[in-house]
Amino acid sequence: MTGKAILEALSFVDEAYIEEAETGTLQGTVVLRRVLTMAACLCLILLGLKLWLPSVDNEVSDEMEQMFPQQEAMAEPKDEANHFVQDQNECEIVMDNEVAEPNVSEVPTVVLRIEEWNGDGFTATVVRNGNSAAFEPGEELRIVFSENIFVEEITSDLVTVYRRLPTEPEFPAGTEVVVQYEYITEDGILIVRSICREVE
Amino acid sequence: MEDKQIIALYWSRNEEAIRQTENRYGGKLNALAYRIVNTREDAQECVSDTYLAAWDSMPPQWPEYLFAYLAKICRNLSLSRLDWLNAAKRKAEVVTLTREMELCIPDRGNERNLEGKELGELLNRFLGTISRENRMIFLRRYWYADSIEEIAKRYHFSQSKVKTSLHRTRNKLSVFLAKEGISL
Repeated sequence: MTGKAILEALSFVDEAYIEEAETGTLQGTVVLRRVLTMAACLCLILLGLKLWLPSVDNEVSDEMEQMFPQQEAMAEPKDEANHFVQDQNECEIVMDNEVAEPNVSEVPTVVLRIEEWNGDGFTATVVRNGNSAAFEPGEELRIVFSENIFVEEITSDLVTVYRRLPTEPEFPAGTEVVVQYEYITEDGILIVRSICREVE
Repeated sequence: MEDKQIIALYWSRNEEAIRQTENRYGGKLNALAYRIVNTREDAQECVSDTYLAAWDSMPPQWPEYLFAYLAKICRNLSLSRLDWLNAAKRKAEVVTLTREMELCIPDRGNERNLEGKELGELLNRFLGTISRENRMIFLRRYWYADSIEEIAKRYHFSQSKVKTSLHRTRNKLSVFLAKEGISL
């Protein structure tokens, strides 16, 4: 058998299926439009609030200032921990959760249990899907790290992102991890761009 | 004009049928043929031959889905016309599709030989076992020869999701064909 033979044999496929593939729509189309519309409305509302509220705050504080003038102006120290800090030596990027910019809904994720490490990644079993329904629980996957892989450590108030390769001591076999993946190759290899421990 | 009206024109041997077919489906048929044969001239000839075949076959045929019926004829003509050697040299998309289909071929074992039509019926049965979403993505790729990007745009999916769907469907097809114990 050749691939060409299968391609040609597809000519005998039922016309109903051919018509379905041409004219049919999928749930993703309808759901996505609704989600995008809602997201757009929410963005407009938030933008409006952001623009409006500071000016209200300023007006109120000006009025308060006139009513109760302060004897001394006190400079508030700038909190560096609230800003994006990069340590050049360690390539460590520390972000306060409030300024974190995740738009992870656009990057597909899946929860895996690491089975065995090898040269450029590991094999794993799917525990459950993350924000996409691409895999089935129990499915075995081969994981390879993307060139721009980063490791995330999440605590209650901080996300620490390290732009480096994950290691076996850090994520031993049996560990459940959440990965963001870029794509799956034709050979079934999942190219992963970030990894962090699954938080229970 | 609706499909039934166009078919009625064929049945009454009114040449307006060809013009109406071209108006309604000419663009899509040209796109389908071009994706396979990869040259404008060959694609146009395939589409012209499609209209001729449609004229010769209706009556007695009264297809339930006119576009699918025409597209089938067009696809068959395009595959017959395709110069595989030149396609390989030009790294045409259709060559990529055959390579992807090779991944569905089970390991050789105790196999029985199969004619194209019989394999086609098996593929039909297989397509009935998978979800509508995976079937549509699979056919857009391997029947209509759409690129991954085109499929993702059509259904508003990410390219990653399309690739994943195709990979899993090919795996399932490979298992299905292995169970049927076939080769060519």
